[in-house]
This record gives sequence, structure tokens and C-alpha cells, in this order.
Amino acid sequence: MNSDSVAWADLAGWATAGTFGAYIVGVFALGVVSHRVAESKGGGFLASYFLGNRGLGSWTLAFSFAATTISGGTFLGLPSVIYQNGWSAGLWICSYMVVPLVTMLLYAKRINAMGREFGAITLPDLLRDRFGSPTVGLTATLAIVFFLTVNLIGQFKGGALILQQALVTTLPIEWAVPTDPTDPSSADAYLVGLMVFALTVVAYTAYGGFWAVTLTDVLEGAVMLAGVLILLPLTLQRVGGLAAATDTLQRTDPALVSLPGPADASGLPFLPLGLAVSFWLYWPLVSAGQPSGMVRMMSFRDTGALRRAIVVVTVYMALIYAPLILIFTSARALYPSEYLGRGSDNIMPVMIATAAPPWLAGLLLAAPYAAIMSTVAAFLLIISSGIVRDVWQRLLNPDLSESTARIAGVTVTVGVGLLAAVLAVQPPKFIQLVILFTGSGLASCFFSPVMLALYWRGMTRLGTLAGMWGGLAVHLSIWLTGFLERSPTGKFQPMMLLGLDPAMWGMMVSLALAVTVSRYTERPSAELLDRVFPPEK
Amino acid sequence: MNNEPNSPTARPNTSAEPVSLVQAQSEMLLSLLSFLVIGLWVVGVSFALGRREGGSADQPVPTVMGLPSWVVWGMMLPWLIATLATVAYALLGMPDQSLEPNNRPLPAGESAVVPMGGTPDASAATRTPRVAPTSSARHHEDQT
Repeated sequence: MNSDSVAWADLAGWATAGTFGAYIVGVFALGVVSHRVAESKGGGFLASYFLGNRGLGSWTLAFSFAATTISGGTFLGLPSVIYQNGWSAGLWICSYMVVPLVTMLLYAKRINAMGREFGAITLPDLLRDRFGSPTVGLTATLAIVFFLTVNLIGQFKGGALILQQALVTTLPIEWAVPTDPTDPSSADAYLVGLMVFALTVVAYTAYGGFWAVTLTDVLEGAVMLAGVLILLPLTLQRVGGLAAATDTLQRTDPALVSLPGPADASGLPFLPLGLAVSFWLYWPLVSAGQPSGMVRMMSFRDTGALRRAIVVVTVYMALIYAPLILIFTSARALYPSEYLGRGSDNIMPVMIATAAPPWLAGLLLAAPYAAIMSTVAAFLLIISSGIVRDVWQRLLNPDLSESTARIAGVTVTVGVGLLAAVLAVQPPKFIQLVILFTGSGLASCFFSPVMLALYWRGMTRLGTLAGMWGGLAVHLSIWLTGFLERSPTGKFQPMMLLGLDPAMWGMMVSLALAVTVSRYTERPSAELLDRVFPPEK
Repeated sequence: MNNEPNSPTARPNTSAEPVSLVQAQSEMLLSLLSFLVIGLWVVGVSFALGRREGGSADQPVPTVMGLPSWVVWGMMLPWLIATLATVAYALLGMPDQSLEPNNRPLPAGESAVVPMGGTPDASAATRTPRVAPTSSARHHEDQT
């Protein structure tokens, strides 16, 4: 029995599964309550189901934004990176300290006010009305549906793997044994986990809509925070304090406590200066370029709610990311070599299993599950709003009735969720790469055009299309090149041109194309521009 | 109950001045400037101290409170300052503004765009959908 299975065996058990199950029941109950709240509020179905009638207060805005930003990668991929690379990984991720500043202060007021001006419910809705162009709206919808559906497959795999581990001793033993020893998702228990995950998250999202997602985001955000803050002292106690951890790391490998970090098999260090600059820019700008975050910024009630939400998110991000860095650098001191390589993906559950009693392990295990659930729920709604609102209602049938819209919204949410679950039966091998691919793609497509649309009077319809398609083309080309170069190993990784992530190139090319094309093409009418940029009093 | 900050049915603050483009632009610039300045500090100090301090196993890394000193001065301190500064600005420096629209929507069927060829853009006719009136649409009706 290897160390991984020892850890999972410690985790497994009825106490763990029971606590974990209680959490899922709580999420489902909140979904039902949210549905009743939304029904009692009345108002148009689409605006309520997809945007919460622009009624988010400070706590719901803060937690829904944070919970959507923090995904399975934060709780499964990031710990692995920190464990393998020590303190240099802290520098790699620490630009999350300015993510609230860059995402919320950068455009929240403008996008919210413009959304109200046009009555926009979705981001494609907003872009379409800003330029009076269905083509712009359709392009945005296609990009969102494509990238978020791909992302959902990876998230479903993450959720299923966690459930698989939580359920493993409550199932017949043969179900827990992977047919391929190198692939945990080849066990039958994975399929059980996938089915339970899909049914839970799809049911509460489809039933409760936007309010279900935002209210459960608050619960999920609280669970994530509690999980991290409980795990931190337990870990520090085990390792004997920070000084002991630093001392052990230095004796293990001095590169773990210095820059540019440990070298990989090819001799390249983890974080040379150029890459450190690149990643400082990467996380905040890519976060700012996500349609899921933009929709949240369209949904808050007033600027007072925004101001308080900025405070909550800033403190929340600090309380999540800084402790994660401390926990998993300490984990390397506790396990200097046991979980390196493929085993590093298991470091989060290993720490939970070895540091906490079973009933608490169930709660801690709910933290990464909550991160995945909240992201999946938000993405499901964005995809279904894209199909129902942007394609069906605005493009094909402007006279769509309220009752048909209601049935379509729920049906598409369920359909997309089940489709992602079916595709996740044969999941991609590398969850984190799928998440990076989709996050980078969306930022390449949307960041520059949306910023220019919000702030620049000279932006045109064709400039927006050029920016979106150009960013997409660059992003896909760089990923495809990386894939072809490394295809003998089968590893799906982007090419790091001049040490920069594809998203940085995508955003730069998108910006250049949007500005250049806009300079030579016709602007929207003066009347429309006056709505977007009203004269200052 | 309805006026509690997080009640879904609480009323928005509409008494404040409308969102000003100039104000939003200045907040955007402040955000980007802070992002770059903090980035210079974090990457600059971390590499200045982290490279030098990261010697060999027989040369212990200088520590502050048990952490490598480059982590404290290059990461944790700017993180603390960035958090405090963001909180202070959000609570004390950021003005409240009304988000409600200034202008009435164009009547359905009226062109919003003057296209290259001079033909009205069909999108204008569908810009005000029949279903799903939003809070902004209701606001316009209230004003009427």
C-alpha cells in the first residue's frame, strides 16, 4: 500500500462521508430556498434567473465573485505547484493580492451602469447593444459557450474525483480499484462520484437559477475559508512552526527557499525573472477578462454594495491564498519527497487526512468541492443564458414568451450539465491545463475589446470583432503549436513565446487589432454613443 | 428588512450623482497604476533579496518570523499594504454614484447605428425585447 492510499484510507469512512453529505444537503436546501425567494420577488424570468434582477448586495456580490474566481484549480492544482516548488510558487501566485483591485475597480461601475442603460442581462447582450450589432453578440456567445463547456468537463472531473474519495469506503471495494493504476478516474467509483456530482450541481442550479448560485456561493465561500483557516494551524502544529519548516526546506533543497526556484528535469528553473513578471500580470488580467466575473459586476445593486464587496473580497483573497502558500510549503517540509511527481496532485487530501480527525476531514474535503461546485454552477448559467437569451430570444425569436423562456432556461441548464457529465466520463488527463486553456482563451477574446467598449468612444463594431477574433486566433495558434511540438509525449501544453503565457499575447494582439481597425471604420451613431458616454454635467 | 444591505429586495441608492465617465476613468487609472507599482515592488524586492539570500545549504537563508526574509519584505508586506490600501480606498475614497441610466432607450425600430452602406441596422428593432423587462426598463417606466 503506498502513501497515497494510506492517506485516502484515513480520509475515507462514514464520519467523513457523513459530514460531507451534510454539506451537500445544505447546499441543496439553499437552492430550494433561493428558488422561493426568486419566485416571491417576481419580475421578468430571464433577468431574475440569469442576473438576479441586479439585486446583489455586498456579501452576495463578494462571495459569488470570490467563489466563481476560486475554482478546483485553487484547491487541487495550486497546492501541488506550491508543494513542488516551495516559496518561489508563492511569488508565482501572489498577484492575487491585487485581483479585487484590478477586476472590481477597473470596470465594475461602468459595466453595471451600461448594462442598466441597455437592459442587458448577459455580456453578449451588452456588447451587441453597445455597437448595435448582432454579429458582435453572436461572436461573444460562441466564444463563451465553447470555452466554458470545455472548462466544465475539467471541473466535473475534479468534482467526481473528490466525491469518489469521499465515498470510497461506503462502496463495494472492487468499485474503488482503478483498472488503470495511473489513472484514478478509471475506477467505477469515479462514475458514481460523477453521477452524484452532476445530479447535485445541475439540480440546484437549474431549479434555483442565479439566486441559488449566489446564495450557495456564500455557503461555499464560507466553507472554503473555514477549511483553509482550520488546516493552517493544524499543519503548523505538525511541522513545528514556520522556522522549523523553513529550516527543513533549506536542508532538503536550498532552491525551495530562494528564487528562481527548483529546476525541472530539463534544468530550467521554475520561475525566472521574465516569467515572474509575466505571472504578476497574468492572474489579475486573466481574472478581469472572464465573462463570469463581468456578469457578476453587472448584477450588483448599487455602488455602496460594490464598495463593501471590494473590502470583503480583498480580505477574503488574502485569507485564502496566503494560508494556502504557508500550508503547502510546510507540507513539503513534512513530506520532502513522498508526493513528488504525479502524487503531488494528492497533497491537499493527504494534508487533510493526516492533520484532521475524520469528521473534520469531511468538512475540509468540502472546501475544494465547494470551489468546484460554485464555478460549475456559475458557468452553467452563463452558457444557458448565452443560448436562451443571446441566440434564441435576441437572434431567432424576439417574441419569446415568458413561459417558453422559463422552460428553455431550465432545460438548457440541465442539458448542458448532463452533456458535460457525459463528456467527463472519459475525462482529460490534466485538469489544470484545461482550466488554463479556457481561462486564457476567454481573456484573450474579451479583456481588451470589453475595456475599450467601456471606456473608448472611438471603438467600433468592426474593431470589436477584430479584437475578439484576433485574440482568439493568437491564443489557439500558440496552444496548438505547443501541442504539436510536444505531441510525442501526449502532453497538452502551450508554447511560452518569449516566456509569456498565450493569454498575454492574445490580449496584446487583441488590443492592437481593436484599436487599429476602429481607427479606420465607422463609429456607431452619435445618438447611441451619447447613451454610452452621456455628456458630463 | 428590505433596506438591509444584503436583502435581495433592498432599494438601490439612486440619490447619488450618476456614474461619471471621468470618475470611472480615474478609478481605472488608479487601479492600473497601483497594480504596476505593487508589481514592481513585489518582483523587484523578491528577486533582489531572494536571489542573494538563496545560497547553499551551508549558508542559512536569513529569516524574519521564521519565513525567508525575501518572502516577508517582497511578498507579505506588500500584500498587507495592498490589502489595507484597497480597503481604505473602498471605504473612504470611493464615491457613491447612481447606476441608473441617464437617457431613455430608443424607440423600437429606430436605428441605433449608421451603417457603412447607409442601410439601417436590423438589430435596433430587436433591441428592446418583449419579455424580461429589467430593472432599468422599469426605472424608465417609473420616470415616465
